[in-house]
Amino acid sequence: MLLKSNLRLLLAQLERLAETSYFSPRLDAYIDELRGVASELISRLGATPPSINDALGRFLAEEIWKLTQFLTGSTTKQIPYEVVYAVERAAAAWTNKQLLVTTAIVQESNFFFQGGSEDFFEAVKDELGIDLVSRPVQIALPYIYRHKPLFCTPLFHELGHFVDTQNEVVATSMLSSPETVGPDLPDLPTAAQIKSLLPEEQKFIRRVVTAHRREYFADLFGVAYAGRAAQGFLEEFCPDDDYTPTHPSSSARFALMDDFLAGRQNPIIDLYQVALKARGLPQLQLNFAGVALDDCYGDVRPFTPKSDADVFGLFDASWTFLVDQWSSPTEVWSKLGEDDRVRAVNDLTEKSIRNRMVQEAWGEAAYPR
Amino acid sequence: MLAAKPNRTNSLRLFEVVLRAFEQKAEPQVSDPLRTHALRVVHEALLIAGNPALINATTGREAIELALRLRDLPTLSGRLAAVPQAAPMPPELAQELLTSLRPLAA
Repeated sequence: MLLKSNLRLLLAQLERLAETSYFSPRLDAYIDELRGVASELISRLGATPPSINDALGRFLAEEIWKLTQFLTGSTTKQIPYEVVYAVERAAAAWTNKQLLVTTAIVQESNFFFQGGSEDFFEAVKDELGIDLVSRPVQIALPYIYRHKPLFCTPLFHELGHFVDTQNEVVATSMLSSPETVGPDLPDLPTAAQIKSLLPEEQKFIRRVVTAHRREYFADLFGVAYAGRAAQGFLEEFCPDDDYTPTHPSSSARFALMDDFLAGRQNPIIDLYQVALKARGLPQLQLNFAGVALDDCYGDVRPFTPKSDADVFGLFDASWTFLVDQWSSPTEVWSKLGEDDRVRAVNDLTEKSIRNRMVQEAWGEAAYPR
Repeated sequence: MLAAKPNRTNSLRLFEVVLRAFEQKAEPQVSDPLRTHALRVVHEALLIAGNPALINATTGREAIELALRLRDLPTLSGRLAAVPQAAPMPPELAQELLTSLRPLAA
């Protein structure tokens, strides 16, 4: 009873969402497709006898619920379009699927970048014969940061987790270079020490190594796009955390980020490059350009990025500008209080990204593809 | 929380659903494409567990995840390898594989 009731309730919700005018026609089209899936599932479950396996029906219903939740989140008028734009640009390089980014503004101190289960799309195609082309992903960020792009850089770290889980990058590394082979990770026993542990102890440490490798990968991913803004935010957020089974210590994370930013060779970075290559994915590299902001921001004027690399570079350079002006404000900035300086640099960053968005929109209008 | 929820980042959720269908012989069964898909996952996982250098851009996510789990299960891996690729998976074997995939308490 509950399964069919849930699906009917979800279908009704999707129908209500379809009446909301969305910013994106692609989202509208996607909602229509999802309604088709829910209807077909209800019809299969309602047949006598049901024409779909019960466990499979439950799995599909649960995923429809999750995807509906993603869509509901983006009806808010508080979406930080500029940050979403930057994250979408970064994500585009890592998938050939059409991503539909939706946004949730949450009250808690949490960020995530969560995609629909790829299993769901496979099952819908194989079992119901419906091929869903778009892949919805949901970005969540804290309400108080919705106009603070420099405090939203953890979204790039979360995008790293998404890329990892969608492609099993770390799992690939665990198969080709398991914990008994290395590279050794800071805070943890060496590969040689792990080898000498009892099987049950080895299993436990493997879970820890996997978790730490996942975090390091996401950290490097964040730095690859947001540079010192990604590292700087983390340094403020967890300056001296000790390691846990799920996360490396702050000092180990910062040291790896330092190596990556400085272009220093590091066996942990090499581990990911091998796994990424095997999975046919781009290499981890610094994807942002150095942008000179002193002239613009010094006069409290936004910058106009000319490329995606410039957009990513805004995070790195704006963070440095903010840190400098926080500690030793110059000229006009010295007349502003601390909070105003934080607000103004974030505003300038947001407006600078918007300059790129507007320029691009004009370009597309003038020269439609 | 009212009931345990499946891990959302688990790549093997659909695979486990299909295994459950094999195990319970429940009617209606899952479709042929899904059944074939699950058996292909098993064979691909066995292949890359034996030689991770075979992982490439087209290797399925589920196969990589399953290969990782099979590392600790040499006996079960041997029995799975003995099932011909086109043949249905015996219910007892499906049950054993399902049990072995259950998350361990941390």
